[in-house]
Amino acid sequence: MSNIVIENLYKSYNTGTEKLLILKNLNLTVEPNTRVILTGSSGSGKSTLLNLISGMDNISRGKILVDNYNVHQLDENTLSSFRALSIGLIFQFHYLLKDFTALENVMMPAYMTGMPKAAALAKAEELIVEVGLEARMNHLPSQLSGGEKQRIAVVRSMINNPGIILADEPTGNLDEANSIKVEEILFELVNNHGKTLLLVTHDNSLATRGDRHLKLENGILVEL
Amino acid sequence: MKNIRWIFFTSFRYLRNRKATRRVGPAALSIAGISIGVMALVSVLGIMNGFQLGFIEDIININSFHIRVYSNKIQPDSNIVNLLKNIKGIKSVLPFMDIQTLIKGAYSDYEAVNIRAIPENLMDYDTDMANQLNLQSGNIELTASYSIIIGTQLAARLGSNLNDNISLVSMAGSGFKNLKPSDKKFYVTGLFQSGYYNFDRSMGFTNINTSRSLASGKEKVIYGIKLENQYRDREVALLIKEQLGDEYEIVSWRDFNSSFFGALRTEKIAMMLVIGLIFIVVGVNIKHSLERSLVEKKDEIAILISLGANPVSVKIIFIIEGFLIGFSGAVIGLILGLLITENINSIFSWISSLITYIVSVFRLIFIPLKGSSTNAVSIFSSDNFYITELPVKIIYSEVLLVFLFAVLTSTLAAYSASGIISRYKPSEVLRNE
Repeated sequence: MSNIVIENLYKSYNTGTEKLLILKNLNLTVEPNTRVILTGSSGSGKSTLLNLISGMDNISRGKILVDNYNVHQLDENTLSSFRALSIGLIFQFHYLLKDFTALENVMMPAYMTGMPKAAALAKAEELIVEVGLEARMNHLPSQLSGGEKQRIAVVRSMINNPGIILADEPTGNLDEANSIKVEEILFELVNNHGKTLLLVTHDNSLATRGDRHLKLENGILVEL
Repeated sequence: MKNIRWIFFTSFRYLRNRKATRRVGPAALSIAGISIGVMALVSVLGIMNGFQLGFIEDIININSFHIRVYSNKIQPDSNIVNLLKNIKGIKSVLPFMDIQTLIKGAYSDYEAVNIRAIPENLMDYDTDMANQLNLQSGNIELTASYSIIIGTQLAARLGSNLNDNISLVSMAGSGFKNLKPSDKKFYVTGLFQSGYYNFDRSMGFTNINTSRSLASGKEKVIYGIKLENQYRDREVALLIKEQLGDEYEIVSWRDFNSSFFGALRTEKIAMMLVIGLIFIVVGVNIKHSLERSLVEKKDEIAILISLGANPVSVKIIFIIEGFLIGFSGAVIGLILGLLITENINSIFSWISSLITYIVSVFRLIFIPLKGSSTNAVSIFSSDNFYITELPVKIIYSEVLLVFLFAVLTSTLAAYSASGIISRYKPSEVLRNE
């Protein structure tokens, strides 16, 4: 069971002429198997917070503990393993690898961790079947619709069975019908597989689907 | 490394998919560049080795021997010959004497010549030398009195042929002031063509017993030794020294030819460096091509890292790509280079025929009434060159070196290009997308 603990987190950017303070003394604890919805206006630091939790960006001050890993104290190898095994990332854009089929895209994170190719493919196929895309699994991303690509991206984030899913506006680029489909699949998978979810969105209606609703305002986190 | 398989999987996929996209251009150019470099180096080295080893074989077999033992006697000593022959590693021993003198044909002027006075039955002493001389006509044995074997170029210069009489100048008299030249008549019993112009132009072989009158008295007998393995010369020289003592001077082929062989080596290294410059140009091309590819794939690199790939692993993907470009180019270049080298004379012959054909067509079109036929064009015509075809010798260790160098250049270029990956921040790349 995976949890997230954030203590006294600060994040600022130097724009050259001024220092922008994005996150100010942020504290947050996310219990295992909790679905947290994070909203806020554009530029409020929602995506930055997800990048900091996944170790893709550096903190300015403070501490982030995920599954007791002090994320920003990890060396490069451990950080890569942490990213592969402990968290699953879903972005606003699907970010599938163009040269690989849907099946290969899903199996790639497992293959990276040393799982034999056949086993990784079998596991990927199982997940793709779960979201009803078995007929499309041997297609390249360019041959899939926007909704299909995002569904593939969702199952890719689950392949290594991470405890935490970080989703950054996963339906932001989709039309309403596809948004609903992806949303359903995401929550269904999170519930079925017992994941902790931290979902960033502009869509306030999604907030009702979470266990907690947080809002980032002027770099400060507010529980709603 | 447990997860090396995905790296190869990804690298092969990226290289394969280059074929299906416009990115094939830079990759194909890089492969072509490496191929041309390897092909040029392999061909040039093969031809250069052909020339150089031809020279070296001529020089060692005819002139320098593997080891020369200088005596201070004017008569060959059969005991010394037998003693040397019994030393382990020695294949043959030829006693001889070199005499510098002048030679003249029936209607020619005097020409300088180096007379090598040898035993009458050369085949019994040194078959390698007899074979290397490549006798064109006559007899290699010097059994007849005052017989001489000369090179074909010298014979042409003297206007002499087989069985013609020629004169050698003999200096006779007591003391330097009283020396007087007189002609000694010899007759040509053999003509050789070793292929080494200097020897064919200025060497003659006579019987050591009938040549003493040509000598000034300062010439001493030299024992020319051939070894089973020419690279064991230092070891055998020590054994000879043990047997003969300090009375004899011993010189190995390395020392005797050091300046000439050194020049050949320098020539070869210089040629390799000049042609090797191609690899630098190609290396820079590969680096730029891969850097462009890395910029194009910036988002994919960021995705791989976000999925948990180690940045070093991602670098290896592209280094493998560079290696595969170098390897493919080197294999193609190697095959082409070896084919060209092995068939260089046929290729020149084909080019000669083509030129002859083109010239004859032009003649037919532009001067049809002249009616003159076209002479066949020959690139290595004996009218212009001493050789009629290119000698070729492929040394596979050198070919392997060229191959490895090409692959290494490409791999290093890819390694250098992959440095750009360290500068990518996945969060920034994915945010900008």
